[in-house]
Amino acid sequence: MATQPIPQQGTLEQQLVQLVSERLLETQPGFNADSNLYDSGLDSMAIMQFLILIEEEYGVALPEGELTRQNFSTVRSVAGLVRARISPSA
Amino acid sequence: MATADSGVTRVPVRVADCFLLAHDDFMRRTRQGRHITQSIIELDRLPDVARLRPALARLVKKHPLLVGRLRRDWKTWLPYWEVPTAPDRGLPLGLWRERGSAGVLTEATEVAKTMELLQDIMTQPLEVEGIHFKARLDIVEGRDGGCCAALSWSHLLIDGKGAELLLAEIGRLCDGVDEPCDVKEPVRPEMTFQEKIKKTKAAVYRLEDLAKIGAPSLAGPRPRRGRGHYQVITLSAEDSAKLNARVEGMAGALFPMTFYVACAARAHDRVFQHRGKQHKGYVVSVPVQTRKRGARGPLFHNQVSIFFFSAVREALGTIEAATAAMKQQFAEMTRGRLDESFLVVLEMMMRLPSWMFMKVVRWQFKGEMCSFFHSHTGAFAPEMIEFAGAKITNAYHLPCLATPPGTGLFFCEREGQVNITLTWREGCLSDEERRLMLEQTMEDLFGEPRPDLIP
Repeated sequence: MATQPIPQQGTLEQQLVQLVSERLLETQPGFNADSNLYDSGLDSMAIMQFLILIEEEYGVALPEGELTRQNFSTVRSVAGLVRARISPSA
Repeated sequence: MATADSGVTRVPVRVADCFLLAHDDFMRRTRQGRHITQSIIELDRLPDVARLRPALARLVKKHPLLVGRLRRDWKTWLPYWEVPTAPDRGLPLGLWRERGSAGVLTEATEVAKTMELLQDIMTQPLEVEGIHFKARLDIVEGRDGGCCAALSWSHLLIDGKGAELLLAEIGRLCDGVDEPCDVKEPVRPEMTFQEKIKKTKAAVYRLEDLAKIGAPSLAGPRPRRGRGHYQVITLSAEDSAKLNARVEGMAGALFPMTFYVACAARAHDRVFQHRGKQHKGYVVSVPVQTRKRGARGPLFHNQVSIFFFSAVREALGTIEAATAAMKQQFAEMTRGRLDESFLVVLEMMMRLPSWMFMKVVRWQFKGEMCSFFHSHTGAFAPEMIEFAGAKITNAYHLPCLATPPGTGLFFCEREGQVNITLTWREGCLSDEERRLMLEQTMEDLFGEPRPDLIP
């Protein structure tokens, strides 16, 4: 499956918010990059699906050591992880 | 929803419902009761029964599927729900008090032990006076001043998550909150026959691989009629915190389910070894939700698919190795969309009569279905704090138990406390084996023997 280039942080956050809302979680109105994903129902299965979607969309596999609750608490922090895989200074 | 006549509507069943229909029929034919599970919430005091009664009446009016009957269309042979448009009876409510309790529930019937009562209710049909209820609620006043509410529900209509959502809905109706909560169902893509065949391949190949391992169960493939037994162990907040830290170290913070599957496999293996049996491995089917997470609904239908995990002997040496193996399979099955593939397999079997459906399911594993039942359902209804005016102090499921496989080990959590539920059908597990299974479970959960936690 062809992957797309990783956009800038803001655009990536928007894309991930859309992906989460459409494919993973029943999000409430006002859901944004800073909303708590666990409060929105994120669980093991949804996280694994999220990881695989990121891999398929952007070609980025997040390393095991970065799969922490804190790192997956918001779309913004996940977007930061994805950006950091291509640009450590991002 | 199509209207069949003035007093009845037709509601289509969902794909996973057909498996549950076949399983319920299998239990009925082999005289094991029906596929009924209980969801228990423990309360700090008695709930307000005066609020519960009208709430249960409103519940059935709002969700008439609760009194639906399963039929088959004579042309397509597809099952469907026949649902009355205006049901006039509320969900049955049973009131009980344990011998030695304060007796505040004056209308209640006295019983010796709560757990025995609950086991008896699970073996009884849910029908009342010819009405095909698919759930009932029982309130039991305990001798310790506490109380429990038990929602008994048919797996024909709801799954475990649906039961939690239904309890939350009853709670809302008790509080006078009457809002839509069953509006969205997962949409499955339309597929041509060829696309469906292609889509089934992942699940079929997976099942073929698993058939080489086999799915030996402690009960063996022959159905047994004995009574169901349940043991619930609630860990303290301190022990639960220790356990969660250990799970995080082994399975990672985000995938605790893989640790618990490994734990259940090793606990069963310990009993098999005690019996002098060395199997190649085990197969365990783990339900996975197809609801979008965070949704208030849908309450009804079985909104699940299945991941089939294998636990081969080489991976069972340590809990660490077993967890790593489960984690790898979890990633592979998610990546391969095994959950979607398995649903398409079920969809293609929907027209089969129930007896034939079960023959197909059990054929692959030579009469077995899986080696044991297992689920890790995470936090139990975390959005619920109170129920009809009483504070919820604990909550867990008592899953229905059929043979085969005859045993099950389940985990869930309520406000930071982990509940372990061991279930077994009479004759499938001796008392010594039950103890061995729990010893192994505790050892894996805590990394050291914990005889103090085994009743």
